[in-house]
This record gives sequence, C-alpha cells and structure tokens, in this order.
Amino acid sequence: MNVNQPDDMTPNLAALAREVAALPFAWPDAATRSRMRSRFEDALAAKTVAKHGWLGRGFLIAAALLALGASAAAASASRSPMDLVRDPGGVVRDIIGKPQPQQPTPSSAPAVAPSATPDDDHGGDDDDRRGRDDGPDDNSGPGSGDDGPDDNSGPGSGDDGPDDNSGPGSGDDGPDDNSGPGGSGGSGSGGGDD
Amino acid sequence: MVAAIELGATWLERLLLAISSGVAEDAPSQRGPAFAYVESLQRGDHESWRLLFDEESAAIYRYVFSRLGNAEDAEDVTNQVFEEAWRSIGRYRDEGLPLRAWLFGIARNVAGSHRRRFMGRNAQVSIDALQIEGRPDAVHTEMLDLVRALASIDPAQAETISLRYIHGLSLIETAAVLGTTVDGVKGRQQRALAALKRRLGRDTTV
Repeated sequence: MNVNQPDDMTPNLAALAREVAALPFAWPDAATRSRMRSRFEDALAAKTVAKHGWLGRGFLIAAALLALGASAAAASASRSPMDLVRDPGGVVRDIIGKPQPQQPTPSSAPAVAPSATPDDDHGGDDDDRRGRDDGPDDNSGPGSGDDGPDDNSGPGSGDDGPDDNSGPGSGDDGPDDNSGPGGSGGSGSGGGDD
Repeated sequence: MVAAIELGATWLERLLLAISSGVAEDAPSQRGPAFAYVESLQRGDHESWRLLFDEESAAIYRYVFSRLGNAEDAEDVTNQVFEEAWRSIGRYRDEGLPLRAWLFGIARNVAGSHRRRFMGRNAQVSIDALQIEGRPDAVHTEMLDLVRALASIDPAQAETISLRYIHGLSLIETAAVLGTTVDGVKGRQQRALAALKRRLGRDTTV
C-alpha cells in the first residue's frame, strides 16, 4: 500500500460525500457514548487479566482451588449416612442409616464431579466443562503472540515504505501517483507545482 | 445537532477562506502528553485510560464515521481503536505530539482494514447520501459544491484537506497520521487548495 494513497478512499466522489454526509451526525450522542464506554470498561477488565499473563492465571487457578477445597470441606462436614456416595466402581448405592465400615473417606472421594474439577494445565480460565485446555487463548497482552492480521499501531503502518516527501526545497512531491498497484511511495523528486 | 452544523460551518468557512486566499494557516498544535501520563498509560492504569477514552473517543468516532459512513461500524471500530491503542501503547514514542494524532493514525488503519474486510475496497455511496432524510437543509449548497470539488481531486490531497480542516489537525499532526513529512503535507495541501479553486471556478469568498 502506498501511503501516498489513502487506504480506502475510492476515487472519489463517494468517499468525500460520505465524509461530509457524516458531519451533521458525526458526534456520538449520549447513548452511543454510553455504549462505547461500557464496552471499553469491559475491555479494560479483560485486559487486566491478560496483562498479568501467567501470574494472573496462576492466581485465578489458585483461587479456584482454594474455593473448591473449601467447598469440599464443607461438603464433607455436612455429609451424613443418608448421602449418596459414588463408589469407585461407579455404582451409586443408597446408604440408609447403616454404618459403613468401608465408607470412602472424604479425602479419597471426589470432592466434586469430575466435570467441575479445576484446570491444571494452565489453559483457559473460563471454560471448565471438560477440564481440559479448552479456553481460548488471549494473546492481547503485551508481548504475546500475534493475534491479528494487521498491525495498526503505527501511522501509515501499511506494507510499504514511507513517503519521501522531503525533497529539496520542500518543493512538494509533485503530483501524487496513486495509480500504480503497490507503489513505492511518493516520487519525492521535487519539482512541485507551486 | 445544531452545534455540529455550526462546527461544520466553521471548518467550511476556514476552508473556503484558504481556497480563496491560497494561504493555509496552520491549526494550533496541541501539546504532547505529559511523561507521567504516558507512563501511567503504559502501566495500564485504568483511570488514565478512562481519561484518554473520555477525551478522545468522540473525535475518533467522528473521524471513523467519516471514513465508514455508518454509525454502527463507527461505534464498533472506535472501540477497536482503543483496544489497539492499549495493545500498542508500549511502542508509543513521545515526539511531542498529542495522543490524538497517534490515535488518528491507528483509526485510519483500523478503519481501512474494516472497510477492506467487511465492505469491500470499492464500496460505493451515492451523492444521494448527502440528502439527509428529514433535514434537507443539513447540507447547504456551498458545502455540496465543495464536496463535489473535493471529490474530483486527488484522493491523497482530499484526505489531507479532510484531516486539516474537517478534523482540525495541525500540519505536524496530519503528517504523523499520514506517515509523511510536514513539507509533504504542505505540498499536498497547497495543490489541493489550488485544485479546489480551479474546480470551483471562482474566487471563493466567505
């Protein structure tokens, strides 16, 4: 893309018509501002987790484990012989008021159903249905991998070199040549028309 | 709405004066951000980002709207611009320019990508788009003539005029957005003003 050539301005009436047509309505109204602000807040919250990378995820995993441990302890404390116990063979049997000398100890019994076990593979942080690394990667944090096709961070960060508009005498750069595909920037050879 | 129209008249008057006189006065360039502010943005300080968003999102929205011509897309892309800014702030280099110029550069690229991806490069919008439903007076004749003239000149020159007059950027800010030099912007601007004067076929007076 030649930076001399606007990236998306169609020659040419349409683009400018659109430009000016937008003017009377161009400033966002209160509802639009509110929606944009709300979405931005969501993005800030999401980016905060991503920003801390493994540290943040580790913290979340640790917190989840602590919570699960607490819930397991609470569950075992309230366990009674009337509870349903899932034995190692997977058969559910009803224990009705009879002492069970070989009743599984709380430590050997799954605290929760397998489907709710926490991730232990440093995977995604929000989808625990399969207990596997099934969370979408968030590459938006600094230093993360590529997460999109475009690098829009820099002005004129297209796929070609910058204009050479600094020809002697600031003689402008002559008529811009926007016709060639993938041109190599402005001609920059001076000889402006002023 | 009225304020927006008045604002439009302001840029229109400035532009017509420049066309008539051939002299393009530079807009006052805003000061660059304080070092501590940039540092706090780079640290990911939420309050600083909220401040930046509150200060600049309207201008970015307006610019994106003018590039896309669609309010929903403009809203979506504006948020994308700030998300991209969040990702890229670590690479921001303070050159004494306001953050708005940097954000406009991002917005130009994001809006361009959006158009190529979702609208096709050659999306056509009829001049009828100027006829705003229920507000036939929203675009007056002088503006319409100017739009026709702008539409007939080189796109790069037209974009320069747009950034300088419609969106109010200074020469150096426009250069930063376009990735060129101040002299390059001056050249395009002068040629654009001369071409507009020829197209309008008269000595435009305000």
